[in-house]
Amino acid sequence: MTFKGIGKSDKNPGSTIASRDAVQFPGPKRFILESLLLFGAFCIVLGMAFAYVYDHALFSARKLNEERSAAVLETARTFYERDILTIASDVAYLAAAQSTRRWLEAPSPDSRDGLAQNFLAVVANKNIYDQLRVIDVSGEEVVRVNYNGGNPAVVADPDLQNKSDRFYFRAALQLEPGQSYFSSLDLNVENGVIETPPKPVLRVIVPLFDRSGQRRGFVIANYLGDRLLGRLAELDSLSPGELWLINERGDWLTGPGQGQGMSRDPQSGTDSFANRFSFAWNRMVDSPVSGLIAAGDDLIVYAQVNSVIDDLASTSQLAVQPLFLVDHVPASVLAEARAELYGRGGAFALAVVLLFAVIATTIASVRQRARIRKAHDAVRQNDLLFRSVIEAAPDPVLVVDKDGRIVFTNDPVVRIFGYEKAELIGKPVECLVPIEARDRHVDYRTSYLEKPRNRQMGMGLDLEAVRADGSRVSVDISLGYADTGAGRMVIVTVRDMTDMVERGQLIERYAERLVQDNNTLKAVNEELEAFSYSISHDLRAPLRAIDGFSQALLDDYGDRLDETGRSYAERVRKGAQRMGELIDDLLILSRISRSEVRVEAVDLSTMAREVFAALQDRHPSRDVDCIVEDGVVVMADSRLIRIALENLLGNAWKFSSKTEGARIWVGSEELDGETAIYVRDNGAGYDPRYSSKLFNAFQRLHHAKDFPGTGIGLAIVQRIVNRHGGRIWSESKLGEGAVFWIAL
Amino acid sequence: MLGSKILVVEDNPDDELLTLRALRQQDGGVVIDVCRDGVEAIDYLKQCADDGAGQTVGLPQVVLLDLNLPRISGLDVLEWIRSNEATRRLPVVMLTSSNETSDLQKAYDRGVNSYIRKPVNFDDFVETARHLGQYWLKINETAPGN
Repeated sequence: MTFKGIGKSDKNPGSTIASRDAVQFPGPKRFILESLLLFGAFCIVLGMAFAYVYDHALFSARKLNEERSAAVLETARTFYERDILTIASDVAYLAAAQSTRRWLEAPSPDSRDGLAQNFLAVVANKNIYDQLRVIDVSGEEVVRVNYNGGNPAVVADPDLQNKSDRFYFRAALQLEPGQSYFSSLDLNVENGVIETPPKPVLRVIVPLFDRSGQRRGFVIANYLGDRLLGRLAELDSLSPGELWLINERGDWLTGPGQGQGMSRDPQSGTDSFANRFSFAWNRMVDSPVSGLIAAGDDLIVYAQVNSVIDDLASTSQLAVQPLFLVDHVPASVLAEARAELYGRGGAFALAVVLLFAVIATTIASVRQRARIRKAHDAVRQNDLLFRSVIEAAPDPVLVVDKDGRIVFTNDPVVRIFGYEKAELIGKPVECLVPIEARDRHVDYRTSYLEKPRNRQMGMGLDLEAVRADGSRVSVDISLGYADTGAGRMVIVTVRDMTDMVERGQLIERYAERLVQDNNTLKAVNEELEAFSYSISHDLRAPLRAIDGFSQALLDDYGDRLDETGRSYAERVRKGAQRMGELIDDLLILSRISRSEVRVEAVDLSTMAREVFAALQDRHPSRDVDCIVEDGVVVMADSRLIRIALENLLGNAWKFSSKTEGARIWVGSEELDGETAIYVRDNGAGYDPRYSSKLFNAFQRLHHAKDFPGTGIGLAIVQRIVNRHGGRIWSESKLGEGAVFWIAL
Repeated sequence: MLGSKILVVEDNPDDELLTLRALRQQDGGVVIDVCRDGVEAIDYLKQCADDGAGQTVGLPQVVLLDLNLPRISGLDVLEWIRSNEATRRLPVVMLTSSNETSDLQKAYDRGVNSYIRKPVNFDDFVETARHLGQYWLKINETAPGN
């Protein structure tokens, strides 16, 4: 794997060295989830559309069934009512016909024959009558014309019967002139049994009266039920369901599964329409004209067809029994429609679902690809950032892969090692390791990769690296690591330690010198001590001799000296004594410099009062106002600070001796964040021009005759302050007093 | 003060002379013996304690001892005095130029009775000598047997 320069985009994301951990790479999970979501959404929409279409289709199917049923029913009703009206009109005609009237006025075989011929003509022409008869008031058939299956014929006399026992005859007897009787459409009963094959019959009866108003008989028309049944059967095939004829009791005149014709006795049967479809029957009884009943997927459309007779029967003395036409569309019809919808719709839906699946996965995969591309972009960005950071690093940085090959580096490496960057890329990092350490380095590198830890600079190893020209360079290295898309990378930061090594050597030399100097200093110090000791003893002894023998001279030989001689001897003594004082002061100074400092809390206020008391004892005639602030405490060596205080207060005391109303203040103040103690007086002060000399030993700013002293006091104070690591300074003006500040 | 005796151990003749001069300005009758080094001082004290012939000269009331002495130093002499049965209660006053803290400590550690620094000013020296005589010869009671 090689690395290209920064700024070149790399198509292969595997060769990026930036950590891929920082970039969220889209996994297959996301793709699958997205596909499923899309697919699910599609399916929901599809399901809704399908449900709508299905519902609509089912509704249409239902509506269509209803409409067709209603149309069939209407056709059947019209057919039936037209027949009824025809019958009513025919019967009325027959009752009033010339031939009929002639027979009524003059019954004879001739007139009877004329009547019969007329009846025959009607039966033959109309094709709706099974029979047309005239029955006299005793119930004897006078004329009967039978339809005979399309070959109408007048029945021969011997075949004429007495019908007086029939229910319709008894009903007919009640008819007044102008009235008529309509029977129910019912099965024909012959001799007490239902005629087979069943023969639905509707009878219409009109009474015949002669001119004198004498009831003479009846015209009875038997409606050809087969004609109706045939017609109903035709219509039934047009209906979506089954077309039935139901009588007033709820019995089937034509029933389910029986084709046409009334094949069973409606009176004896327990399986009636009213029983089986009781819900519908109840509605039909309540609202008998017409209606539509849907019970679940069952549909029942009905119409009462005898209402036309009701209109006609204003003349009828008997209540006309209702007759219903019922079209029943069973649930199975709708179920079929459903099944068909399911079948067709299902196949379609399956196709669409498959299509959706393809679309959903396509969309999801397009999006997934976009995400992956984005992640790769991010990795590339990170990579660029990573490279930029390393490029910008001021120290030489090498990025080494798990095989120990240099995969990336920066310009400082060129400076330190003399290799071009391109030369190093791809080389084992051992090319920079001294030959004798290379094998070891491979081991180190391998174990480091297994258990990497960040290694800081300056771990004390004296490392050497090899430059391109073979020369060695002292280096320190720090190690870090990063787990990247291209495996574990070790980031090596190199530091040229040449300067540091030189500096270290320099420091060593300085340290050696420091030790030497220190020893010298010690020796000097010892010498100094010996010197002080010597001064203290050896220098003082001759002074004592000078002073003592001068006095001896004065004592023993004073009388032989004149005034001048004696004064000389006195001067010799003064000089010796002065020198003794100077030596003593020097000794104090030297001792302070050498003495150990033991710091403790010192109550400066109390100490100052004690010093003032001692001064007052020594100079009882002085009247000095000493103002000491309470509670001034310093951390100091109490013995040394007392010496300092004695000197400062002694000075203040001394230099205010010529001031009226002498005052001395001792206290402390905060100055720029540090606490400083002060000793202030209103005495003679000093010329600030000489303030720089103030703390020099034996420096005096006043004449000894004005203010006696050796001039060692402030030098001692400064030495003490220095021993505490503090500082001392002073402000004054000649004649205006002075203030001394000490900050410890 | 009659019969009073002071031993001055002093190697410097000037100091010896001045010391004697200062001491003699006191009331008379004081015997002042002088030893010029430590060996001499120890021999002197041995002799005082026991001359070997049963004749003890008698120990001095006080020894004025200089620190810096040839051969045996003042501190060694002091140590000898304190370790010797006959002399261990003998009052010893250091009379020296040094007021070094270490010298003071060493002297007192070895049981010196007093430590006096010789002043440069002869007047002060005389005054000091007067005080010394007054105190050790008149006021102070020496231990019995001395």
